[in-house]
Amino acid sequence: MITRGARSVLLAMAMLLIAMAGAGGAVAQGVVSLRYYYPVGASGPLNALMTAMVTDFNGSHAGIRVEPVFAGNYVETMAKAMTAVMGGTPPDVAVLDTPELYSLLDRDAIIPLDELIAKNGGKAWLDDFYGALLLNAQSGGHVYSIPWQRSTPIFYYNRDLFRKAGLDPSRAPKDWTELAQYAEKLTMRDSSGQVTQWGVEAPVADTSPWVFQGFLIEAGANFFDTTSGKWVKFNSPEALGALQFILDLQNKYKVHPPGPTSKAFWDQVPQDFIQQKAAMIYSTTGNMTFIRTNAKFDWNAGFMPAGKRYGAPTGGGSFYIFNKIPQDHVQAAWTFITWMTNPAQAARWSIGTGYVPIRKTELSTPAFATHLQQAPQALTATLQLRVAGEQMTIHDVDQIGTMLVTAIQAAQSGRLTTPAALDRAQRDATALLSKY
Amino acid sequence: MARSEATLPAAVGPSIRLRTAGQRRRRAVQGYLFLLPSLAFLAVFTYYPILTSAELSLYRATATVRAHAFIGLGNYAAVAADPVFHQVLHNSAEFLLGTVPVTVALSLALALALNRTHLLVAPFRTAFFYPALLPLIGAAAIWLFVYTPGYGLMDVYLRNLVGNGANWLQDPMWALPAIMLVTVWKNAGYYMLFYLAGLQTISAELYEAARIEGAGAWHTFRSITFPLLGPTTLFVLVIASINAFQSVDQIWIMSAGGPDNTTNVLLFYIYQMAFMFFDLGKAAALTVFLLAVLMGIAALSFRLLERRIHYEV
Repeated sequence: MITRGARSVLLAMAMLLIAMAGAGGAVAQGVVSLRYYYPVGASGPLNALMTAMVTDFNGSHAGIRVEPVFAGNYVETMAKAMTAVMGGTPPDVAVLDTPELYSLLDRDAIIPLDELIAKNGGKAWLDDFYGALLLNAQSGGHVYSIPWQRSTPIFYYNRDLFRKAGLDPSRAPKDWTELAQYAEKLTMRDSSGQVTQWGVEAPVADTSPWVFQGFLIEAGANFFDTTSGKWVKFNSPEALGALQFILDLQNKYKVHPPGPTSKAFWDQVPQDFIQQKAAMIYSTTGNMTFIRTNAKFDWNAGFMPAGKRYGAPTGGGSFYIFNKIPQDHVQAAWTFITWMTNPAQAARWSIGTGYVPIRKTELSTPAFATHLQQAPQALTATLQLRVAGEQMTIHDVDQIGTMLVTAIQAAQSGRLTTPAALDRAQRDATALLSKY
Repeated sequence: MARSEATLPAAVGPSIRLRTAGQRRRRAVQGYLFLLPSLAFLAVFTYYPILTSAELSLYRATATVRAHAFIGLGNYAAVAADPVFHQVLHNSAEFLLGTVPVTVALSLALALALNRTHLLVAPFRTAFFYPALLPLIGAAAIWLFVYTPGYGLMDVYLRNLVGNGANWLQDPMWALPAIMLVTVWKNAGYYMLFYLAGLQTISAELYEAARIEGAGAWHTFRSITFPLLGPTTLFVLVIASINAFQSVDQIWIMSAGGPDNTTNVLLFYIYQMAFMFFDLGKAAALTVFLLAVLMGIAALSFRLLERRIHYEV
């Protein structure tokens, strides 16, 4: 039985322990502690790699201690970062979805990186990053983010099925016309007319209109304000043509599953490809490792077929440094970013994850050269970056993206005509953007 | 509560009746002290957020704008004029009417079928209760695969049976029913437990009397079982209705509100507005609306629950 005196002693000891733990945090004088938010799967290999890289960084930088905070997917990480900013306790550095630029600027949440870049090799250093990846890192002549886990939609095709259909397996269809022809030859039906194998699957709208943006770029549509993010143009003749082409694949040629493409379809498309239920698919470079591991047939990756031109949006996350943090934190955050994006570390990340290489010199690292021998298709994404366009980066980008998604789905389901659907998205988006 | 306080002094006699005002006050303070922990939690995690939401709903407050501006009922006007909100309301009503009666009827039927002693009753009860044990997120992910066109279980079986399938989650007509089916499957076994418990409380003498009087199975159910299960039914209806308005996990996993907002329900819309679009003022106005709906259900159920005394012996 514990006596009253013994209880007091225990209590005092407990309080002492707590006090010591508190002091422990403060003892490390001169060490800058960085709160770093990042969005990857919590238990997946990506998280293990990220943890390993942060540990290596902390091991080689005595004055800095990066504390990684896994924050969920892009939407959840952004929500957490914004909540922290509103509460006056912003993270120091975070990887966020790159098109969130204006949402972050509107809140005064981030700082421009121009001075830091100038002290770190300036233009020559920046120019080593692929230009397409920097398009939506900039606004008003300032750079606000440094590319990190970037991706792009890419065109995967089943070479065995190409051979079976008498098509040239050495290349992907070059343009929309050829895509429709190939898809017709690759669509198989059973005796009752049920489709057993689709020619092509394009998840043009899931939770965002990401893949559809590729079609808009290919159609030559100038669909948003690339300088200040204040307007969109969803109902131009080019945009109408892009959406009509998708509907034609579905309803006229009947080579693509009918109906709205939604979130479930996004997940289903790579499954359909490895099950050989779809001969050609559009999906993210992020799925290349999954396809390489699971496809039991000969496949390749190519550019998204061209409309008026080749094109694809970029995607994925970049490093941002937050506003209203101490100057030594800014410097430490910058040291962390430049270390993570140095060619050797960047190559380690892109090989381990399947994200595209972000720097030109990354390709010549020995590790990447070895990787290309095992996965030659990984080069296609890099080459496509040369013809990539800018991903829609505007004010209220998530809400306006959702408006475009619902418009595409309304047209695909026949609830609205193509012009009516895009007019609706245009009207709603313009109303929302009028406040900027 | 009020009744027990009134009867307590009389029951234990005048000997411990509180003599002085000081004692009475001390007694009252003690009572409040006992309430304090739960009051503190309710205040911090329920009342304060409710008041904050109500206040925020009067401001133009998007997370991406630096200063909040008072706009009175502007957010409510914006919500009322929002065509997506009207669709969301319609979807929520459809979800409520499509899941609650079906779930309650199904759970009652399951309970009636399994309220007996038989070798197979335990395995069947376990089987029907099993979905309630799964996390909803996991269940939704499984059903996502079941609904996959081409090689999902649903499609494969339907093709074999009727020669045709559907693209369940991508078809605006079927997407919401498909998600409602998951919800019914998930909850029916859970509510079955309440009905089984309710059935245990019905006296066997009543059934004996009914048998002697020569009442048939249907008559027995209608005149004895169902009326005496009244309080259980009411309770299950209330819980199921509140659950219907709180559905969000399965929507998030299976459809993200699409296609074309056909599966967007109230709580998901609030989530979207607050954490994807960062329009906190409008999200707060929607929250106040949802709160009013839930309080309406709660108030109605308490009024009805007071009447249940009639059914008790």
